[in-house]
Amino acid sequence: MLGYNCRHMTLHATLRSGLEELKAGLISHEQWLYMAVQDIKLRYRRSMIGPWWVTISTGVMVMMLGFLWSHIFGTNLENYLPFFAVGFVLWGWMSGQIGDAAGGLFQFQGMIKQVKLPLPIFVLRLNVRQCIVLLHNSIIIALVLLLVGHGFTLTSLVAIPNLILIQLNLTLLSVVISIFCTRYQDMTQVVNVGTQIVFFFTPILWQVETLKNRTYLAEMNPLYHWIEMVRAPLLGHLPTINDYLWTGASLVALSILAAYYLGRYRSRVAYWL
Amino acid sequence: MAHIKLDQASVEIPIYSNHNRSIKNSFLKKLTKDNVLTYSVKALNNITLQLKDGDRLGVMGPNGSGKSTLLRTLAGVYHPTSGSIDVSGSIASLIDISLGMDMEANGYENIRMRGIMMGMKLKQIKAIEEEIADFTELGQFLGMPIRTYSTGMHMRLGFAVSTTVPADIILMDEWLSVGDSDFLVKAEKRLHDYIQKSSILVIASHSEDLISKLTNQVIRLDHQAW
Repeated sequence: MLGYNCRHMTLHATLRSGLEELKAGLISHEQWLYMAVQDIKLRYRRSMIGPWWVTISTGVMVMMLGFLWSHIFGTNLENYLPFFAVGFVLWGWMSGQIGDAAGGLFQFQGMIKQVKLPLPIFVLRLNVRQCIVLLHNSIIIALVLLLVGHGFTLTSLVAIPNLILIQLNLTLLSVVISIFCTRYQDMTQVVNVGTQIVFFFTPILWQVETLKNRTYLAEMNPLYHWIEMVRAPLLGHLPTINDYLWTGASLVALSILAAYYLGRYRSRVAYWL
Repeated sequence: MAHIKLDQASVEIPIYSNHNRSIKNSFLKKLTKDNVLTYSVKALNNITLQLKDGDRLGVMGPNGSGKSTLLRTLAGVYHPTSGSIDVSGSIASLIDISLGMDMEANGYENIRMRGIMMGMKLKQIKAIEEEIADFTELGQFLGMPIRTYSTGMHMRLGFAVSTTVPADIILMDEWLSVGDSDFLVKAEKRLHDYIQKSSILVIASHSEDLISKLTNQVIRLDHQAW
């Protein structure tokens, strides 16, 4: 373990130390996996059905809004409900991670101020928690697809690797947001409001076709592509090349940004808490 | 071989008020080129320190003189704002005895959680879990959420786990007052054994007695007006 002063580091050195930190975080999987599972276990202990509460409320929302919006848009339920259910559950998973990250690293300050641990551990712990919640919520997707939609096909399997790809994106984004919101506490609210706005701008409630000749509004939105990567295969068709390109590009961009943030601000975080 | 080298290290901790934690104000400050220094506290001032294998260092000084900050700096938590630090060897940081504990989780789960956060593998922990449980003498309480524990019981649990994680360098804050006198004797013996296995110990305390028992050198930190 070697110490060095980060204030005069070159960009190259900053990125490299950031990448090392990321790697160190991913490698310590026992720490974040165990803690996340433990978090969920405790949720079960506090109330008998634990995270299923989230599933129930999401399920009720999906049913209610599904009926309402399919009427408003004048589409048939058989078509609309699977689209909405999958999108809405995925959105809950994505926005949950962003919201957790926006809460900053304050909840872990006891640990951060005592032991030197790779910072991504804490972010990954939050991420895994949301993934376990998604696992619970996926029953909604399964039920809707089997009862109302066309069920599962082989294409549906593509959703799994794509989900991992999106998770990587979300983890990197969470690293950036959590560091940022730890420094600037007033940004937590801004990020939360921003997430809500993005929800309405992303085709989750409404389908892209309703945009007619203004589909660029969706095409320019990376979150639309992230959702499509998983939603499309579940609805029986493959994601477009565009979806893959956007996801790949955001992965590269976020990797660089997260590495920069970690390299540059890692040693400052303890001072901010 | 474990070693610690601090060279002219200073730690300056910024005091953030709501004012300069806001991004709006940060922007305004940049725009107006208003480079008013943020109010900050110099917690450590030009500390130079070299420790090698076998060194047992006691850190003394009044409240607020920077003992904990020094430990945190050695642990790698605070990166010196000037000067440099070079540490090699694994570190056990026993600054806060209830690190990583969850009030809702039971005793056994907390042993595992704390062990993991201190860098042990789950396999390692499971192997020594019973030994820790025996030592704490908490018996069936270990199956209960630790929010039902008394302060003394908390301490026992935290102490037992902390003194299990093997490390080259041990950083300790204060002598942990661990429960009743019978237990104290046991605890002291365990602590001695634990320290024996390490290469370097740095302990902050107010107790001359403890410092003279455990250490072979002492530094004194002082307040200084800044």
